[in-house]
Amino acid sequence: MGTRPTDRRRRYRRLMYGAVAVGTLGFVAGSELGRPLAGLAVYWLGALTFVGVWWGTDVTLFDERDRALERRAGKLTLCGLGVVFVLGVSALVVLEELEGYAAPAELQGAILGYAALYLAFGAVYFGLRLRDRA
Amino acid sequence: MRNDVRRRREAAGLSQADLADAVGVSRQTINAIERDRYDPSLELALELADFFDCRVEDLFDPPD
Repeated sequence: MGTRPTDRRRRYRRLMYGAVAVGTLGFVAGSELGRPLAGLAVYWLGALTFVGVWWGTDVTLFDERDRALERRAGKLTLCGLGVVFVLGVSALVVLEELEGYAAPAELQGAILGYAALYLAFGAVYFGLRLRDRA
Repeated sequence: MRNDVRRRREAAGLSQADLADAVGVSRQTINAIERDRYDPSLELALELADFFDCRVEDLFDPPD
């Protein structure tokens, strides 16, 4: 096994993603097998392994290109969800008015969740703007 | 952005991993820069120019 930074970065990142995958699978398996607390423990073990490796190494695990990709992915996700949100709510209003359709509680909850996501984004965005102006 | 990173790296006899280790980024980032798929930050551009002992404008968007 190599000890140069690029090799260590690859190894640590595999360990981190593997830990999260095992934790998530453990959580799902625990829930399905009627042992939700055991599943939750496995999930936290995976999450703490991820954070522990991230904080514990002197190797730069995520560089500027990773951060740029994250920004692009976040932007695309928000834009995509925004289109779904606007079209979905519009269709729902039309259906309710013209067809007397009553949206199920799950759908109303999803719409509220979408709205909360965008409100949170707006709050964080303006908070950062204010901080930069100060 | 068109750049001269690959030519200078190969002239120095370095692999992408060698250069990545030298400037503190991943090998994939060096590969993306060389293939014009990623424009580095000013900080990384300065680091690369410093490594190759040249000016940033000689490394990025070099004259033909």
